[in-house]
Amino acid sequence: MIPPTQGLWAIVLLVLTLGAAAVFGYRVLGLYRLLRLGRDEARIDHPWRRLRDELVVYLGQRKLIKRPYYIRGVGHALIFWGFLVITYGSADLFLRGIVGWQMPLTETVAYAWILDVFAVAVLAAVVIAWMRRAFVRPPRMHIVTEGYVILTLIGFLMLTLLTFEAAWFASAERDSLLNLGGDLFRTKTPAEMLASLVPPGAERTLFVGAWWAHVGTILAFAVYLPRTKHLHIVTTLFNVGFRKQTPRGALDLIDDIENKETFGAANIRDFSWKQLLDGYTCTECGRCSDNCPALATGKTLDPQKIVLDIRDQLLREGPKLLGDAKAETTAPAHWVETKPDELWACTTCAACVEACPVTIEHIDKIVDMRRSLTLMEGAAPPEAQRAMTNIERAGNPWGEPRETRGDWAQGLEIPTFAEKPDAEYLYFVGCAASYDRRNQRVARALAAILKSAGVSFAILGAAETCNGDPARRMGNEYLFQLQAQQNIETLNAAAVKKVITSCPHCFNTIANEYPQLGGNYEVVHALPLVKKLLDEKKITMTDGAAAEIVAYHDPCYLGRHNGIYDAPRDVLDAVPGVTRAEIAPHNRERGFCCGAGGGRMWMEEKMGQRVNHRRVDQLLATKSGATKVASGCPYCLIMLEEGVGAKGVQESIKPVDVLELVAARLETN
Amino acid sequence: MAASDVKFLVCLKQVPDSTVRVKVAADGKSIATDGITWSISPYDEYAIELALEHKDGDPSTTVSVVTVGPARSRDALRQALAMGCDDATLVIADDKAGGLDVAKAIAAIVKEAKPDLVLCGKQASDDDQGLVGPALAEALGWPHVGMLTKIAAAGDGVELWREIEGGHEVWSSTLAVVGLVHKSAKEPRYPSLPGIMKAKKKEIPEKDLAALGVTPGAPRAEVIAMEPPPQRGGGKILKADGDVKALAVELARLLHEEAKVL
Repeated sequence: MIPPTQGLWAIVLLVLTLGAAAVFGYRVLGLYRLLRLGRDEARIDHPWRRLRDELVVYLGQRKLIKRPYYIRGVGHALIFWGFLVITYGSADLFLRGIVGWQMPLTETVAYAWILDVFAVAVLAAVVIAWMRRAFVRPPRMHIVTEGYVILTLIGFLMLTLLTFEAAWFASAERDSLLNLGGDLFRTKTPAEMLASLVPPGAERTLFVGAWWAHVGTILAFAVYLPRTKHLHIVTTLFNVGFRKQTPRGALDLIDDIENKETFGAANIRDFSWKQLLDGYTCTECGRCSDNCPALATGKTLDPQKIVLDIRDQLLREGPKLLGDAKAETTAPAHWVETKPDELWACTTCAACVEACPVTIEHIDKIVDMRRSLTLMEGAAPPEAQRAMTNIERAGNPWGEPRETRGDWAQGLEIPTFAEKPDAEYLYFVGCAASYDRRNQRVARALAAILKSAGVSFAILGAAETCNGDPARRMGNEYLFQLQAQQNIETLNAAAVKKVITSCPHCFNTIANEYPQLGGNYEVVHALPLVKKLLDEKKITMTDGAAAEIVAYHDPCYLGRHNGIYDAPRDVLDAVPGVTRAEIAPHNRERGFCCGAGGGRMWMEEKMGQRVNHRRVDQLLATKSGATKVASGCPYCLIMLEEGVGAKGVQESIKPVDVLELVAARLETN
Repeated sequence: MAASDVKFLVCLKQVPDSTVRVKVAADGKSIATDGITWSISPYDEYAIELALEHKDGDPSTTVSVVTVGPARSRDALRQALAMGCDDATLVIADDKAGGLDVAKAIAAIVKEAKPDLVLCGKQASDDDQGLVGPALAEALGWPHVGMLTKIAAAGDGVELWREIEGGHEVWSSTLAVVGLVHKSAKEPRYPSLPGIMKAKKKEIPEKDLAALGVTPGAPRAEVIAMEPPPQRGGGKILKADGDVKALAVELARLLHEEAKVL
């Protein structure tokens, strides 16, 4: 396919290309300089995992093709993969048009086939996407003119491509193409089929016109791109490559906190370059908002808005900062966009992070802004302050006496580490199971299971203190570090190697966050441990209780934050007489938060519907006939108890912990 | 109240934190203090909050804090500094110093520092005596108003809002005055981290009673014995076996004969 750029025309194309490249480069450089306003952050650990993510998440479109977005996801993947194939062809057009170099294999029937098929697929996907925006507005997706312009440009690119291909097929012999792939591509390509529509005599004019229109559109696209959300086709490559490779549940450490002067994100410079890159990458698809429990229940928080607010503030105030590093920027108390109410509504459930196709990390931004409010301004909500003061003074957010922490174990012959220093496991009980009467029953259930299985374990008793999770998620990094250091000292002094928790928050913090402060232990949540003990036949349960249907509620800090979806289900399935029900579609990675994470347990919830009430609504809506709803988290248990009470269904559906179901059927010898 | 440069002095006491389960010590007349958490008495925290709220509105305000107590009380002063108070003074005294001696010591501090308003919590949450505030006003010959929930500037003087049954009373006073605080509208503020760090570095001057011209007198009151409240017995649950009438009869009998409330 000889390009229509003989003689002077090659120079015209060269000049146009250089011009477009210069504008593109200038705009991208501008964005890059704004990005560098952010603080430094190293994101080069685990290179192989990063490479894997590029292959699976970027090239493989893994995070797009997910429940409940399968069809839309495939549509996007088609456009994306089509783009890759067509970009290869575009490179060929420009190289050949300017210097006459040919990209390998472009002069083959196979390539013509693949190119044409993708061109048709992209065209179809573009039409569907266009119609979807115009006629079936997806909830919460930002519909902006920009979206239509880009879709139209892409559509026009495909039309011009198919036109000049058809015109070429009308005037040339397919035999001039290398017949790579043999008979596989014997039938006519889509463009070849259209060739008969080309009016005789007009082949050359049509070819040249469509060719230049196509090439011109590509250049226009390049110039327009950096100004739009469609920059994500470039930034996603980097955003995926630089995504967090530490556990999702681990928040970043503020290192050397005693000697720092500012904490958290008080202005745009306090976000890291990666957090700012998240803003450039956001496609405004709204999937995060779709899945946010706070937004779903009428709070002002909207995770997409948080990301876009940061981007908008960067674009608005960044240029001023580039000129004068000390220029005044909007302080949090006067934030134009993000208001503290929005930040405090977050349960850190990670539904947004899970849903985002381009690996944006919402929670870290929200917590960074909370850090500024709490640590710099002392401006946490009063109930949150009370919880923090309680942790400081009593070692638990409820303000229960420090000395009575181990009282739940009285009379159960559970040794403390001081009494049994050679115990294999430490059972880190956590505040909820230590003090909350309902959850004390879960602690006793776990103790009974461990004893029955012959597991060697001990507790810390009054020497245990809050792991710091609520403080950290309320933005009080300082208090978190004090709590963590205290526990690490206690654990190290007792030479603890292995830790069991019955609370996913304790689990997440000790397993994923304590290593930041030098606390390295083998941590296991009770449910995977019980699963293991069942597999090893160390636990036997009696069959005798009446059959019952039990719905499983996924705790966010087991599921989305730590990927533990199956072990609790396996344990539930192993309980004699229990038939498991799912709270579909809000189960597994789409599980809906109970409303208590992120320190929300201790904050009032005045806006909209309570998150736990919505969860109970979802549970009832499944009409599964479940008489119990089982979870593996003390917060979930408290919230579900409150929820079924408020809905007046406490007689027909009882919240329990999976451990209680096992303990009730233990074979007593 | 003067338009600017108003000086507050807040008197505070370090007490066992409200989350501590207090136990009687071996001597049978004091509490066991080993390993317990200490904090600022809650009403004193409200007093600090009221003074700091005034400072929020007028940055020329200074808020000083003082405590009379053992060396560990320094932590309570640091907490007050972290909340935003400007300076602190520690008067070293025995834990058992009587309220009158404490009032005399603070009066000596007041004469040096010349504050416009002295605020105290209405009582300390440990012994609940409520003695130091009124005694201090007496020692200084100043007016004092109790149960404050709000302080507002009014001309050269001050409006003092005090809570009464079902509403508020508003008193006006010239300066200087002693106010005994019941509560602040907002919860006492949570210190910012820079506040905590700055407070750690601040000098807290230490004085002793003798230097203030106070010679502890013989105790005017003595604790003879302390004992914990009796253990609460478990409640009685009546089982309904279908016969609701018999159940009601039994309940009435128990309320009448055992609980003696009917």
